[in-house]
Amino acid sequence: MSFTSELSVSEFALAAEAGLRPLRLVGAAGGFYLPPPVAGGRVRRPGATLGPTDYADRSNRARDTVLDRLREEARACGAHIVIGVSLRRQSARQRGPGDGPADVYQEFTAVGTAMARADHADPGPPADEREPVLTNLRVPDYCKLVRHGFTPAGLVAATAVAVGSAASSGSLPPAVTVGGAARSGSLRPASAAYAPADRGLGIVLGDPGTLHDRPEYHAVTRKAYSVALEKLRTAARPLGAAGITAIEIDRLRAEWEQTEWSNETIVVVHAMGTAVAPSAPAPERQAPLTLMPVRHLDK
Amino acid sequence: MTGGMFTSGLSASEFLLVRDAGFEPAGLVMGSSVCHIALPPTVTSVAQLTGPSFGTIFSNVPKDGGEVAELSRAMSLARGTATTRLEEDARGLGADGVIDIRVESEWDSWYAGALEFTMTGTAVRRVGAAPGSAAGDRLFTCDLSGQDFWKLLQSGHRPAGLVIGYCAYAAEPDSALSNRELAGPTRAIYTARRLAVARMRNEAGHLGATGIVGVRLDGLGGLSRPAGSRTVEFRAAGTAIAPVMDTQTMQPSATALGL
Repeated sequence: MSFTSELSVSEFALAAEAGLRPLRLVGAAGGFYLPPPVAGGRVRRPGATLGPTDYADRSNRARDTVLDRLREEARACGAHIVIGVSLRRQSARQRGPGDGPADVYQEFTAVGTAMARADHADPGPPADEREPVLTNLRVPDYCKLVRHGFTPAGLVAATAVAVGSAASSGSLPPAVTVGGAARSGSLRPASAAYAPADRGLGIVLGDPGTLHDRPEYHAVTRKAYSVALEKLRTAARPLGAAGITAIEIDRLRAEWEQTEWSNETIVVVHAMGTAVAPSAPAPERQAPLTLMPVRHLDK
Repeated sequence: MTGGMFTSGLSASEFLLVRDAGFEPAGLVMGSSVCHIALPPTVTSVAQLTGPSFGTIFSNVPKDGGEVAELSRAMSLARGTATTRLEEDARGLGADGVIDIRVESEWDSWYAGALEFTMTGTAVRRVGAAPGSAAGDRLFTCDLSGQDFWKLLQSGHRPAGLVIGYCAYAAEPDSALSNRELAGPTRAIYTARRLAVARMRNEAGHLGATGIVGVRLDGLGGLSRPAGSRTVEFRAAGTAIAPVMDTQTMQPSATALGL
């Protein structure tokens, strides 16, 4: 039976060496009602906006639904692991109810290569009781991880939304709320200690009064980051993970909303990574590693 | 850090190599800064500032070409603030340094007249060092991947720091009715690139580095996008390196295989 995969030739060869056999390219998709988040429960377009907490919840649910579908498809073909999972989210082209805006729907697409351990001779029916493990690592990474006593424990992903209110002059301390609940605005003001090291190279210093840092924007971005990473850790803990590698931050400064009557800004961070756990028994540490550029293989 | 679990943007093999080099990932860290640029009332974006009518509405944009000092300075300020925050974040994790730093900048990011500068990286700490006991004085920063970091250490060098040079330069007005080179823009590109590289080297000099590896020279497109804009931007970024004192640790160079 022929297989399908998105592996490169080298990856295919490497996978064979490592005892992995590609089964088929698996994919899952879903479209969800997921309008852009708006701060403070303000409804700009009735039925077309969500509060920050709602948005995070729905986004998390939507992504998990699609990843579950991917896992289901992999299980159906008898896979042990799905390698190189990539997740894409985009605004669907379909318009909302009536003449509504198009951006209230989001489309999630996940693709990966389902693989079986070679000793698992016949893929056949889903006789295996194991859940296929998803990972965004690609084959070379997987092989090295296994060789060094770790095993991918699963894909962990999280969406975090942070809301901050920007002081109009940039001088007030920021008030940051997360998901509309917790708050912390303890960011220190930007230290002015940094002196650019480019004096004497022809740069004319402008009027210092016209430039200044706005710490509230950093505060809200950082909050979204740390909440997302904390969610990743929370998701990885039950998997017995030692850590999370290959974290992809989907969007850095994502959606934001600023209107004339509201100074509130919203940052959405989508994060995804692979939880790795020490495999028992840990194989002996092998001496020097072979270096392979694997980093942006698919980018 | 809770539960001793690390987060990292490194791929698996990089994570393993970093471990091999005697470091362990401490966590993903970030620092950002949004720099406010006071725009004249009639201007609605930084990009417009450097657009066709530049030089008439904003005194800091040179009419006859030259560095747009205000913007170079904004970048420098935002970068410095973001670096400070990145390092504070890393210190909070008891890290010795930050590797694999990625740099992004965007004009008019949050509102017209805002420059956002963001750095993310993986904080690493020496294996065995108790959290908090890290060499408190100076963190190292670099944009090397885990693999390059490992190779650098193997070769008897250490990263002295991430160095960045930036220049926004307005070309002198030039137009042609026949096919010929436009001297103004050409000169602007050359000058902007030269200044960006010179500033980066200057920073490396301040760090006592012997050289810079992995230099990337990016002509950023943010300011030249509006039709008729004559402003070019260059950013040079790389990792300044210095030899490790005890060169006894040097080992035969590793084989690198292209996949």
